[in-house]
Amino acid sequence: MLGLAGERNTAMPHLTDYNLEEDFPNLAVSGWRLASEPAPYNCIAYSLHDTRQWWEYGRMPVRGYYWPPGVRQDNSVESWIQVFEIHGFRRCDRTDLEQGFEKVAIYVKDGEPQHVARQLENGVWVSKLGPDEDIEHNALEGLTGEHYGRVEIIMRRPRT
Amino acid sequence: MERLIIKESVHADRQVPLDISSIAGGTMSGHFQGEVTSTGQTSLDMTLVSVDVNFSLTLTPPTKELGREQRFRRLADQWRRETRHQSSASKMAMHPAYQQIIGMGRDAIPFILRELRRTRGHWLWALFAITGEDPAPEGSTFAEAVDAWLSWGTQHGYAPPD
Repeated sequence: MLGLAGERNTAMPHLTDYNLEEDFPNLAVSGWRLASEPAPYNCIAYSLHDTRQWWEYGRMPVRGYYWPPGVRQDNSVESWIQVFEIHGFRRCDRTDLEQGFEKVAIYVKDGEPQHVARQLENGVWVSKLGPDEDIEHNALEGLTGEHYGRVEIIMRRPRT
Repeated sequence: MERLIIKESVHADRQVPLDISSIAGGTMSGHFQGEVTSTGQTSLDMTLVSVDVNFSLTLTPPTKELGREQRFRRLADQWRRETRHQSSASKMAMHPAYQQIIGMGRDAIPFILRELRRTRGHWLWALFAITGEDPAPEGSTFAEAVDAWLSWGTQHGYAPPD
């Protein structure tokens, strides 16, 4: 389990120039830590183990962005579900750790998906927070609130 | 000829120093000599015969006309602060501060390229919107596209300001 009140990774103290717990106050309760330097991928990419591309569901007029072929390119819950389905995930009801399964959790606010977190083999969740840092967090509730809404979709696939 | 607004009262047949404010926002001071046609307690009609002005002009830009770099910095900081957890680059590009930067046009390019070099952030849409160009090859990753734009900047002589 990660420490409470932000177990800050002292190797990378410079990653944020702001207090993450001000944006996500539940993190202070559930425990979290910074996990990596800023990098050019987003939460969808990271949840599918892609750290080279930014998976963009909006139509971009400029190159440098990726979206899986054949998936409707809009910010709908259905599109996000389809992205994970084509990568072997299926919907489930439980967020707890199940041996042999990898899970993702999609946060939804006002009917639109905002963020997706991935569960590690030890049960801790990892999240890429927009264009900046990755964090590890003990509970999905750590990121619920004003920015990301709440978890509405859980999906799992056999862990390889 | 610019309209001059005389701030100080004058007396006939005398050379007096005046502070004259022009409508451009600067100030001038100097001497003038003119023919007084009428007098009154609160107003004076004069015909300017000659003016010998020694002045130094200091222009203070109105607040809304901030220096380009200051304006870019303010908008970029606001944009970065208010989109820092956003997972969609298209939503980030629709932020009002980002749109205002695009509205700065080519003046913003050196500042955008400097920011891109420093942060490797989502400035590609802005550069495309301003220039109409896209130097990134088809199928580029984001990092490859950033590198393409930085090379484009160098090739087009956009040395970033220090």
